[in-house]
Amino acid sequence: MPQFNAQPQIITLSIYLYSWLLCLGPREFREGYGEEILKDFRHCCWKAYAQGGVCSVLCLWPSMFIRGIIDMGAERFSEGVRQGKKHSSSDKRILKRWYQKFFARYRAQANIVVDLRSNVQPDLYGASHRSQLDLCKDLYEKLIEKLIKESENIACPYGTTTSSSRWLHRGRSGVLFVSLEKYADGAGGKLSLDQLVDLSIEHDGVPVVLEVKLGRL
Amino acid sequence: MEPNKQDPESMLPLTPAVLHILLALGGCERHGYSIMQEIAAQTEGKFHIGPTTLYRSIKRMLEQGIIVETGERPDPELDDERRRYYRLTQLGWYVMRAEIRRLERLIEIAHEEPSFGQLLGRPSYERG
Repeated sequence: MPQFNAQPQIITLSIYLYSWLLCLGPREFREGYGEEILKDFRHCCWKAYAQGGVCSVLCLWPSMFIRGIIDMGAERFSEGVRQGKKHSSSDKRILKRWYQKFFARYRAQANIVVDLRSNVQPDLYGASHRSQLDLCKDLYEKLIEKLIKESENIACPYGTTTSSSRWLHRGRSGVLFVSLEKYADGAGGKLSLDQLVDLSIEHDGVPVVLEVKLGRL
Repeated sequence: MEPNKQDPESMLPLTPAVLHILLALGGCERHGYSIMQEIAAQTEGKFHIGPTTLYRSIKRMLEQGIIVETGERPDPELDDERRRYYRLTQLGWYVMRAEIRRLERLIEIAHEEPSFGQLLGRPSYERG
């Protein structure tokens, strides 16, 4: 029977590396089975060590680690597919992060033709520049929220149609239409009904036009 | 006895890992490492299943209701750590039986084919 308190360094190292490998998998799986997986892996290491020492443990690495990487990747993928179907709160967070990254990437790298900021006219609500920035931030957040809510059919940026947001392909360009039903600027100002704000972005030579339709407050 | 909510046939074919886990749990309830050892013993060391594959399969099988967790207790043969034990459900038995029948039918088909029958070194089955 192995005595874990006198654990050889090679086993400690193996378990340490294997625990890092588990981080490749989804958090839920890690929390549910990570401890058991590590216990079993430790037993495998001890068995190998008892049979042939350090070399034997090292011989375990290729099969165990490659298989582990494949399994964690597959688990993450299947979890993602499942999340795509369910849209739980954690899914929404993932989706939100994804959209934020998506927009941030365009904003940071793309050659911006028209920025959202320049389309929100100050005289629409007579607010300061600061309020205008808050307005843009708020609109941006709401846009992402709306995208998440309506994106059950969206699998990718150039994806499929949803009820109130859709991507259209026009040659090499993509147009995203999003309808925001409610919107408040937080500064006391009001926007007129059905005020349209266009956001045109170009990325890698592909023009993307984001059309945001603002509803009433 | 767990209710048989699903059709066992709809779960076929099983992956090799799931089938081996079912076979390992056929005799008694076991924990993860014990399942790995049993699989190695049953296959004379020809089929090894890693911990990640094992627990991915266990997770799916629990979701499908093929196996259930029976509790957590130490295995006196290994150490004094607490281990989660699993056992087959009634549905699990049905699924295993269905899979074995499917495999038997597959072997029959292989024997019925004259060229495969010769390869297998057994006389081919008479075609009805």
